[in-house]
Amino acid sequence: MLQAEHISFSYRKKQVLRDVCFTAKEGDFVGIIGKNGCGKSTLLSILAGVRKPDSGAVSFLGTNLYTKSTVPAETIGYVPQLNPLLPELSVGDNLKLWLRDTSVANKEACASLYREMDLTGFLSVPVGKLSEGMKKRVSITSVLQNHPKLLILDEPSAALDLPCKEIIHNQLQAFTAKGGIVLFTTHEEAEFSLCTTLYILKDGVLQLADAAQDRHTLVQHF
Amino acid sequence: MSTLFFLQLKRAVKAVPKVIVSAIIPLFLAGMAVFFAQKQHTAHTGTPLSPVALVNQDSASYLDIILPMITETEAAGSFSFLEMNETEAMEALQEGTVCAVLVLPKDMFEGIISSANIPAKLYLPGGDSFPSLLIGKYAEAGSLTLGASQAGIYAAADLYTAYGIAEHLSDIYYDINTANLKYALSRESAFSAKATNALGTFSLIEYYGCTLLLCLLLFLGAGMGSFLGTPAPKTFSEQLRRNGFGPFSLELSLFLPLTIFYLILTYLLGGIAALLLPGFTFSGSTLLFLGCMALCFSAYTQLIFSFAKNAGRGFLLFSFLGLLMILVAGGFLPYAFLPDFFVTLTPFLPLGACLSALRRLVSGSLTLWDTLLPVLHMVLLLGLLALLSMLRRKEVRP
Repeated sequence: MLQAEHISFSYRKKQVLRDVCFTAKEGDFVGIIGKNGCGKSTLLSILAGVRKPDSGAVSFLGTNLYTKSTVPAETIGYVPQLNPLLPELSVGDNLKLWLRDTSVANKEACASLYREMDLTGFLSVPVGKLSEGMKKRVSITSVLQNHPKLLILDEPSAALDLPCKEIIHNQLQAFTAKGGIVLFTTHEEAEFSLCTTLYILKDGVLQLADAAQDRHTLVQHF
Repeated sequence: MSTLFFLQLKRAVKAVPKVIVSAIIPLFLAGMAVFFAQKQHTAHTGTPLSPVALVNQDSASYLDIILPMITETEAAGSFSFLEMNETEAMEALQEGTVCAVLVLPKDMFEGIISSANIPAKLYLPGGDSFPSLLIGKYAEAGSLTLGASQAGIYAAADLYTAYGIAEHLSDIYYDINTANLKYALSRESAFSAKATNALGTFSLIEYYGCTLLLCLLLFLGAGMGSFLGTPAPKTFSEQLRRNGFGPFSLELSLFLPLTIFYLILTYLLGGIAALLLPGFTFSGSTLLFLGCMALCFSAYTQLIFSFAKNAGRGFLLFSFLGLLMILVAGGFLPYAFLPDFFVTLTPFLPLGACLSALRRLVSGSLTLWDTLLPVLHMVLLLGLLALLSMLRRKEVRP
């Protein structure tokens, strides 16, 4: 279970998160929506352990993330908005860089994952030559190959074409079906229906939203 | 860690063609800048081949013999002499069409013989121009030579008097003077003892060959540094940190490929230098020094690019500081044309120490201290890098 308690965060004098609390349990598909610059990415980076909150605590599977020297990257997969890839290296090399378990068994599992993500034919292509959509797929794959229990994705479907989006949605749904937790931010209306829980971040406050609300009501929050 | 290191090494290898291409443009620009700076410098002060105005107020018959002797000496070969009257000569000096005015006063040569010593006058333009320095040194050497000549003449006169044949002296004065001046003026040692070559014991190729080697390392390193030293997007280093690699590990993963790159490059350039520069020979101490220099360059590159956090900014800062250090070390202009404190400053600059040691290597006077000084610089630079990494770790650690 992921639990965020009373998280607050400010950039200098501007407070972007105010007393944010929420929980997510195994199998949850949690979406966070909100206007550009409202603090969604900041919240995700805090939950991923990249940034420390001014106050509050985040725990996953009973472990407080900020009492450990490093965040357990193999249990929490984080895909930031900008792809953490080295453009000169091939897709295969970039995936190899982030692969934690290099056992033969896992390599076979990875090969299967690459096939599902339709990356097999691109493993030797330099990342710099890929489209943004392909890069995003590589980023997500680099995280999924470590079999995390929590997946945090910052606008995963931005710049993706429809077939790409479908591949990723299928993967994420399969991930939650196996008991994983997905936490993601989005501006895509079509993705609301994937969510088991939808939150709106407005003025630094996280509020539960009803995904079934009419479009007009939700769009007001963008 | 090993995967990260090998992948960074792979990146470095892939970047080599791009780095070579990116080094050509700044090298060309630096070469052009040096060329035009030199040209501007010499154009401003008159070229070394500028004529010297000769104002001859003496009507002595020796002059026809003496002047060719002077102008045919090796030291005077850089100058041509134009006979003018004094007014024309001073105007020409002001206009910059001559680099000096030499006035031979009336009865000067008679004065030499009779020990009246009426001095010649040498007018030089203001400033420390190269032709002025050269003529100044030349005049000093000339006066020494003339002094020696006079001593010979007086000694001969004294001996003729002492042996009671002074009555013949007036008949053979001409022969004595001619012979003395001939021997005195043909002695080039008076000029060679005065080091008028601003490059010291180096040939032009050796001197600027050292500078070129360092500039090649600098600009090829700038290309590789801007490539390796900026691995981010920022998210890349954040992900590394999440995976247990701190800023120090990241720096180390960049430092090792960078060092390998510099080692290969330094030995390669050293090999070429050994073929082109006569004084550059390969030996154990040469290999040790080149290795130390590669380490020093690697640490300098890593620190600057890590500090700059951005490829473009890093490239500019790295190149600017590098060129400045080479300039201070007399890489572009010899020390004779630079402020004195540059000499004092040079050993304290990483690239300055490397250039000085490289010159000593070429001149065959490399000491262990010269070899180890770049390593000392490397240690200091890495210390600063570690400090920077620690500060950044403090900044971003979750």
